[in-house]
Amino acid sequence: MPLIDAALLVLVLAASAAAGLVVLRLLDALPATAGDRLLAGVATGLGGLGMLGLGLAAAGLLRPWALAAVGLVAVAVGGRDLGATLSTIRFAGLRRAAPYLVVCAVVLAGELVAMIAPPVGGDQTKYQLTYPRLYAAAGSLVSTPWSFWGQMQFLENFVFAAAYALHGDVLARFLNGITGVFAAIALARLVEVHLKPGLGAAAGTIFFTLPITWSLMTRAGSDLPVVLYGALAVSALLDWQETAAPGALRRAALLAGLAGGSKVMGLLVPALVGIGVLVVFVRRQWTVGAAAMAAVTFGALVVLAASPWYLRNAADTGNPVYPFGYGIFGGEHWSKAAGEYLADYYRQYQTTWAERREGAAYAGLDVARFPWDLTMHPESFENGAKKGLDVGPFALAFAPALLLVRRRRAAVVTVGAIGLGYAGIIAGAAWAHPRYVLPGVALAIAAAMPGARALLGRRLVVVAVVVTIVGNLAVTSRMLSPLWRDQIRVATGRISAVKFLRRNEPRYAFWEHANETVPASGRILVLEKIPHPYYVERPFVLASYLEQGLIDYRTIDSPRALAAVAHGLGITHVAVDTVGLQAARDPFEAEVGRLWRAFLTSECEFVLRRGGYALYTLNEATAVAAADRRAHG
Amino acid sequence: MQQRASVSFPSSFDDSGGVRVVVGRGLVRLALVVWVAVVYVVYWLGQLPGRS
Repeated sequence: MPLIDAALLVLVLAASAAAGLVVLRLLDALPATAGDRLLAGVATGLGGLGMLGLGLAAAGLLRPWALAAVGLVAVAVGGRDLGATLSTIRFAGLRRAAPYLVVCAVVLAGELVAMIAPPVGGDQTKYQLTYPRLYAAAGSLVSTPWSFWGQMQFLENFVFAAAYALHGDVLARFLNGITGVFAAIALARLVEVHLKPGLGAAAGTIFFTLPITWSLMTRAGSDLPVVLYGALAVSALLDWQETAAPGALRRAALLAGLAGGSKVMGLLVPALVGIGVLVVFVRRQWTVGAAAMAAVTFGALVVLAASPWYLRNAADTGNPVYPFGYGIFGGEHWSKAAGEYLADYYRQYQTTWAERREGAAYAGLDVARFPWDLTMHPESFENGAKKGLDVGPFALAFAPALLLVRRRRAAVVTVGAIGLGYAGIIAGAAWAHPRYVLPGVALAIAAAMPGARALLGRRLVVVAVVVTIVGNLAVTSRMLSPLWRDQIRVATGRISAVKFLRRNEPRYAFWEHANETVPASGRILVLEKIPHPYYVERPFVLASYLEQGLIDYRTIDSPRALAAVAHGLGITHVAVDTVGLQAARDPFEAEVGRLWRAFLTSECEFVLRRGGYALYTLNEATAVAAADRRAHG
Repeated sequence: MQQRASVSFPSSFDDSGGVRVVVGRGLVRLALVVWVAVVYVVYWLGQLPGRS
């Protein structure tokens, strides 16, 4: 089966590269060398695939034949561009980079194993893969199950949706992984071309071997695309700084826009690259008219590339960044109280895990500690293992050495400022979290390479790079046990995917039985604070009191009222996180817990229990309940 | 032996009337090497069994 996925991956990349090269050619925005053209082209094409996935889903046409048809058109139109680019690529520098390439190939081989086994845990089973899978199954967008995570679906999620429509989760996770590979290459080229020739491969390998990169390669998400598009956009900005070629500025805008389309925080990439553009306007004393024309072009391309996913959210809910910014945009099925409760939850979450560094959530200037805490205590930012969030010591150790850099200082300072600016703004204004600041960390690693070279000299810098990479691999190796061994067994066909899931995914143990029990015509109400519904095979509605507002527990005062709402949603069964039923960390949570317990007792019949979950049937609506149902609309 | 040399902010700052800082290059290098050593040592101490 993975062979089919691998073949489809090659076809998807070929079509994406062909389409991307055509777009860049039409914009007169192709990079100078063939290798860079191919990288920018395929990245642009994958952004186009994200748009296509959304467009087809919105039109109810997210089907293999539609994707294949568009792919054929892309190859027909851009095949010549792709062929010409491939035939002119030079591999002269590969011999020098061979040791680094071998290391990366070994790491990638290990990651491929994890991509082939079914997804387990993390945000991928919460929303990163869950909704793309639903869209592909339906061939369209789905309005339920209601949760704001269904609106947290951006560029990469619709690439995943296209992959699910074509074949399934392995292809989706291959595409997630190839984004990480391209991100490492983009960082390597950024360093090699603009910052310190000879150290590009080292920079790319340091990033690729980071323990956190392993986590992101093996668990699908939206962070690696921001690294990829961010690095490419900054490279294009530097091309424009150095050559003044208008096409390079257009490429910077397009790629920065795609970074912004990858997730809400990614919008910081076009903002920071845009500031870089303004600095050049001032330093080079552009006339107001010329600067305004270039700025409008830049802004228009950013908006064009970033906007489709935000427009979808605006159309669905009235809020492009749903559920955030409620005070400005509002948003259907959400409220000020829900937003405040969510903010309180996140604050509480940050405080809880900050105790791992014997600290508290940052307030004010405390955030200045973040670079140190990020490096030394990455586990203090979320409920995750330290090794899975580790960004290694290189960026923190060598970023100050930027002071010694003399050659290409403007480029080095630009990359360092954008990287540190990204990480600093996210940490100070959004959420100080290793994954969220990774695009900034990646740029900081790139900018630190010439600093390390200036500090240590030609030979010692290689020693520092090797020590860093060996350290990265040592920390990463701790993540292999015990899951990776089972993933190898799945990849080599020694155990089935189902057996793997029974061993390693606690939720699957319940949903496997619940899926068999609930008929295909049924619909399950999921009573869980933070559901991970990836393995739910039957129609369902998420009824969290934290992550959705369709069912507003602030207006539901009795089990009968909740039953009326459930009947209104066509619910036949109720699944409940039994451990969560007792949660009472705040008055609202305690109140909902009491409501859920009373609802299960008075309105439902017990069916089965597995692990920490139980399944009930919802009693038929009585005349009184039916009246309530009508009252609730 | 300490050398006198200039370590300056990037030229982009010079143009806007920024500050040129002249310090002993050897001293700065020593401080940066010590910083690198501290970061790597503390990082690896944190990776020892029981610390992660």
